[in-house]
Amino acid sequence: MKYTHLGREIYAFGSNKKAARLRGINMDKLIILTYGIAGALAGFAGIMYASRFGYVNPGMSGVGFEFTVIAATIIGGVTVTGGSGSVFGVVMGCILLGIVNTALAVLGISAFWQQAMYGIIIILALIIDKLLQNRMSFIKKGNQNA
Amino acid sequence: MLNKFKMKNKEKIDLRKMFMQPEYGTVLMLIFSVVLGSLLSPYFLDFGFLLDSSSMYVEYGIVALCLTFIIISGQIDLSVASMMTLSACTTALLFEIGVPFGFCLILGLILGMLLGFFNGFVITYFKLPPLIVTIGTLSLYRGIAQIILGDRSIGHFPSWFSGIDFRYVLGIPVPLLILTGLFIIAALILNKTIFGRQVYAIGTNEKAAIYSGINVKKIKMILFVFSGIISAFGGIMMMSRLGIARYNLSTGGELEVVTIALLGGTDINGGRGNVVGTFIAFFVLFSLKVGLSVANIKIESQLTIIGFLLIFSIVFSNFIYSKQK
Repeated sequence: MKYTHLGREIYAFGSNKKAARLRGINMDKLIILTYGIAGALAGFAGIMYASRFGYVNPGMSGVGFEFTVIAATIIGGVTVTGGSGSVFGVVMGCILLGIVNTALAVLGISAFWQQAMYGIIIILALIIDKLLQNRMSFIKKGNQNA
Repeated sequence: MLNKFKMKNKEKIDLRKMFMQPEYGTVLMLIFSVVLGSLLSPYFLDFGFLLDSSSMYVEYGIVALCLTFIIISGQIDLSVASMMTLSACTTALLFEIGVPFGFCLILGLILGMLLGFFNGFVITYFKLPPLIVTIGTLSLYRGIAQIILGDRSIGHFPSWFSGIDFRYVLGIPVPLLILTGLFIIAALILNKTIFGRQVYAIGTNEKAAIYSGINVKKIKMILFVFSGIISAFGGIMMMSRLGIARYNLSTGGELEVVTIALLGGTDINGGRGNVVGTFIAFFVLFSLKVGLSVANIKIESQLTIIGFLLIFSIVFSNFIYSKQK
């Protein structure tokens, strides 16, 4: 993400679409490419899933994974409006979710709590992220004025 | 040549524009789905059967009416199905504890209002994108339903409550009448009141709406609160129809609700759309589903068809709107 041309283009596109287009970035190509990469990675994850459980069922496998994935990304500090975030953060987010999951099991809390926990985590992470952003932009403005 | 045509008589152009409304696409889809249904099975075109089976999807239709408002204002609410479930489960739980049932229903609606209020509060106060917030609450609300009920179902409601789909007025099942009544109210609100115009204004250009003195936050809040109440109402109807409440009621229902709203020609970017389209789209989805079920097509394959419809409707209405310009 950080050191290749493509990665920088994705950041640029996320933070300001118009500016990115004026800089000569092929937006359509970029969008198709990112979705393509997402699809390929999802396919890879699907194969890993199959290898781990030894069976696959279209009705059961991967149901509700969206929440886990979105929660991990948001906890990892990726802003939903685009333009910032890092892969390292997302990995940390995944590890945190894994810890929460295991902790729930170890502490003897029933599995029914899991989905609600994900919801709470997503919303809390969103709010904290937003508050941090506000504070950051406030600090930036202060510096400019001084 | 087209330009000359345009210059010569404006009236004809207006007629053409009138026919370029996405609602007509929805009507075409309705005809298509009815024809498809009757081709697939000879039992499809039985009027009484169609009326009876309509009650199975009415809950989604009702919620889609409200979601149309939200999408027109440029927002989205994906937590509708979870709100339906949570309020149904809470109502059932209160009933089990021993609260009088009429009181339970009112508390269920109030809970729906609170859930909607929470959505609206997080979205407007923290200025967060509604898509992600409602995905979060989708998970949260269903999770809470799972926590309070666990893996069991509650039934044995009073006999006056259960089986709403078996009540008829003038030969028409009550759920369908409720849907029609709510549709008329929604259409009047959207087209004839200041509130309706303000919803369109927010969807078209939020900044312009703010500068022209519309209290955008308040209106968004009202929309989300209403979405909560209507969802709770739909959830209670579903509970009456099934006679039980479980945490996994209407799983994936948000997909169907969004499909109905978008199939009706509502623009996902906001600012355009109509409740009429949603009302027709409800019949499209329902006749397709009934047709496919009668023809013994599996639920999983039906999911594929719904997904395809969703994408098709977005592309189609986008195409029509680009032509209008």
